[in-house]
Amino acid sequence: MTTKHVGELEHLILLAVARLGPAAYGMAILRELAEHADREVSRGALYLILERLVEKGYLSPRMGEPSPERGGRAKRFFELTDEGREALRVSGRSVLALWDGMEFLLEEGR
Amino acid sequence: MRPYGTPPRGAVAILRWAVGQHAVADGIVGDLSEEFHERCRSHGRRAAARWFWREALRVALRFRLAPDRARHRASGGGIDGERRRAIVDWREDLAQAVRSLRRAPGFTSLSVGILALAIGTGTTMLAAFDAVLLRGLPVADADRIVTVTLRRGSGAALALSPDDVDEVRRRSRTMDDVAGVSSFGTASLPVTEVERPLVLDVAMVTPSFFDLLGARPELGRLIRPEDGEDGAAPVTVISYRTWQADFGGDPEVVGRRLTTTQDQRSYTIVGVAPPGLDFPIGADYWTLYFPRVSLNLVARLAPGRTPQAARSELLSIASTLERVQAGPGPVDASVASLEEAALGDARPILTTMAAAVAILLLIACVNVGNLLLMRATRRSREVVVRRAIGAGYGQVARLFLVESALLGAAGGTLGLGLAMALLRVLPALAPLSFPRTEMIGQASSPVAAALFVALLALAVFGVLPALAAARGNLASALRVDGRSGTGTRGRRRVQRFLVVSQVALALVLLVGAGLLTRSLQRLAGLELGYDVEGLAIVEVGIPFSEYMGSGMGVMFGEVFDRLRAVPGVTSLTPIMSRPFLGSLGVVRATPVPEGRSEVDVEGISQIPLEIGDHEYFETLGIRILRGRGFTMADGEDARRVAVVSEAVAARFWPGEDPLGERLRLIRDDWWTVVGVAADTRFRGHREPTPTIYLPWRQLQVIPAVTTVAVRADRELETVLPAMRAALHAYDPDLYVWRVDTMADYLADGPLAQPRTGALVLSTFGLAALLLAALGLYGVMSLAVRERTHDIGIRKALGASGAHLRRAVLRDALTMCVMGGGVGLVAALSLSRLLESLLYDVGPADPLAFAGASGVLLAVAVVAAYLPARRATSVDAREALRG
Repeated sequence: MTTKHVGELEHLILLAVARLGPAAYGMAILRELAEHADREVSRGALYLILERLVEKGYLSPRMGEPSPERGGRAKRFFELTDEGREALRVSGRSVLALWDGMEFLLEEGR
Repeated sequence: MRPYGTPPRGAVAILRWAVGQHAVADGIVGDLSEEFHERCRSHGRRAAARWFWREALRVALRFRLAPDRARHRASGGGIDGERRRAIVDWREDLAQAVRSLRRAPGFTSLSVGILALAIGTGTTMLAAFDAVLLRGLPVADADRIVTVTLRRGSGAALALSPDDVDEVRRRSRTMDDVAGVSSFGTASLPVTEVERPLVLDVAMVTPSFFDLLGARPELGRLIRPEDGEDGAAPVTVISYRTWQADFGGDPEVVGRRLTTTQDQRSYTIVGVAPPGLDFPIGADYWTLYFPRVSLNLVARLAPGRTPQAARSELLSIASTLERVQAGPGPVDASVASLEEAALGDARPILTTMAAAVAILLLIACVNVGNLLLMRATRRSREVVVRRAIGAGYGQVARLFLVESALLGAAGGTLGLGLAMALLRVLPALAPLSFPRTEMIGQASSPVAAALFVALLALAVFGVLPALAAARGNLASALRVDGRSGTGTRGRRRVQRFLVVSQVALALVLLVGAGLLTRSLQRLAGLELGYDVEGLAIVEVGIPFSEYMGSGMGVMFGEVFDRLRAVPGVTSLTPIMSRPFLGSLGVVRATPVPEGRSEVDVEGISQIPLEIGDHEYFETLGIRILRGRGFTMADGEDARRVAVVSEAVAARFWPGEDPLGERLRLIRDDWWTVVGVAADTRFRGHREPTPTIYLPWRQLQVIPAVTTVAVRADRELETVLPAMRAALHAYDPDLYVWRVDTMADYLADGPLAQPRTGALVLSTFGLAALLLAALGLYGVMSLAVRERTHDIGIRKALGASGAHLRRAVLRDALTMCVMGGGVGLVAALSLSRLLESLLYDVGPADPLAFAGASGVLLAVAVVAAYLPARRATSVDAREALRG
């Protein structure tokens, strides 16, 4: 396994961050996963993985403006680094490559 | 200002600690806070706080358990050698303490149990006390809000009309704003929400009421001045308690409607009031006043103005009001703070309970301290050995402290659990009339309170024994026989002091319990003047707007006859209103006896009127002392007749025969007195109410009598279905919306608080007694054991068993008498605090004091007798062998 590979949940979270663009922070990511991936991720797991991805260099954190409904605390936004984008590409490609020719499986469940 | 405040601080702190890195934690806490505020809006603050705790703990757990956490933290800075050694030391102490506590399971479980009980109850009371009494009302600048009651010189409350309130509002300089509140406080009425029947207490207010208070809605909005404009849709605000209890905290409650059953008025719910806004006490929902409702004043003082200034200004304005000029007698006004008005009479009982808990807590601490001290004594050898092999005073003390801390932590944790459970059931246990009980549920999780109580306990019971034990006396303890020498004298003195203080504190509680119990007995034993057994009060929902006009009297008559025909009903009568409603339930009139002018009766307060029919006195079981009660003949067209109570007869016709005398009561009608009835305590419990009884059919306007008193010869439950059926058969819209036995009215009304008070204090008193006895027993046992050698010598020298037993008992009784003396003096000064709760019992009631002392003495003798008996069974040879 090369270092570029990421786990499934990491993959999903990276994708959610990519989809959300500049609006990616904890709560938004959680919602994105719930709405589009039908995944109820526990907060603890999400925050832990986000920090792990930061540590791996796939995500870079950025502080937003503090707001009153957050009790004066800033949002912690995340964006994909070049390495993160690369990792997403690698695992995305391998997933898609394996899916090649198996699309009928997607239909069956309908 | 944020509307919902901050998320639970404890949870935030735990989260920060678990996550470690500041920036990361900030992001997470921020995210959670954001959703917390959304949840406050949709689910209410309480549910949101619960959610926050759960999520915060989950996230914290994840971060703590994560395998790469160590790496995380390591990069943040290592622990230097010095600190690590200290930590290792503490860990060793901890492990040792756990081991040593485990070796003494009896001692450990007893101390932890006592502590848990004390901390649990202490924390509960602290949290409840804080929520109900200390946490301010949810209004702006509460200290500037006052309630004003106008009174006639004679004491009768004088309510104002809405126009009067406007007048005061316009002319006042000392008050920024003035609003009116229904003078009856709240009224319990049947309403329906769609098809669902509810019984809720309504309070009526003028439009600026909520603006004046400066309250903020929990949900939706509150009533605004615009709602009072002509043609505005009728609206209502429901209380937080009602929202939770009757609407399940439904976030969609705004827009639903409440319709009153009796007169079919419909109100749209526009919002939910904040929790704790229990004013007037018991309000479930607030609507705007009806034109004819009379009002009391609530006012916001202008900055810098005093209540006294407002009072004198109000009196001068009031003297020009028509309503005030019309009546007899001078007018006085009393001004109370909003807090006083909203707490009602709950403050003394809550204060009493809090004081009782504090005393109990103190006893528990002293008790556990005593246990620790005894344990330390038994371990004096261990201490001395430790010191002898080089352990410093501090190290030994630390070991004991760690043990105490462990006990405190265990007791505290259990106590916290107990407190949380108690806080959940407490609102249900509190008497119905208790204000702001929903605030108890709102009490922030009692962690802080429990921590405070546990720390306090630790400081009191942990430190002293640790220091005493660590000193240890080398010479005496290392003697082969382990006998005590002079070194333990100081310790023994401390122990005796502890026992004496426990006895004293226990006596204070017992005296309090005795006083409240005596007072309860007095209250329960009052001559009521009516027959409680078999009497029930039934309230009928009648949409009487359909029967308005002349048909109403006929309808009511027919309804009563139908109900009377129900098998099991022996008699039945309409009555004015259900009992113990205070000023709400009564209509008053100022009677003028024939041959006297109104001037003569000036100063005579208005007298409550009761209505009934020919079975009234029979149903309630009120004795007719002279003349007669009502008959079927006292109908609409017959001569107007009245029955007066003993007190009324004595006031108007002292020493004369009132029968045949006439009274002018309502307008210019003359009412002839045909009977004198015994005094009753039907409206108020502590004093009999002077009353004038009238046949309901003879009133000029047929009143809407929807309350009936029923006397049945069997259980109420067996009669009720037939009554409901009879009503339904007459008109499907009629139904029974409330029914209670008279005994229940007494128990839930005037006797509820005294009973709760007596019960709580008695429970605490017993617990205190038990603990004190335990302490005494422990100390005496130890003393006997320590003196085994001594006793052996005495026995060998020919002392008899009885003699020794007496010596030990004498010793114990000396402590008891000392403690009892101190306790009696303390109780004498403290029982004054109870004075407002006592009925017909003085705060220095000799019976209560003697009883409490007697009980204490008896228990003490038993507690001392057991060790004393052991002293006599000491075998001299055994004891001397060493």
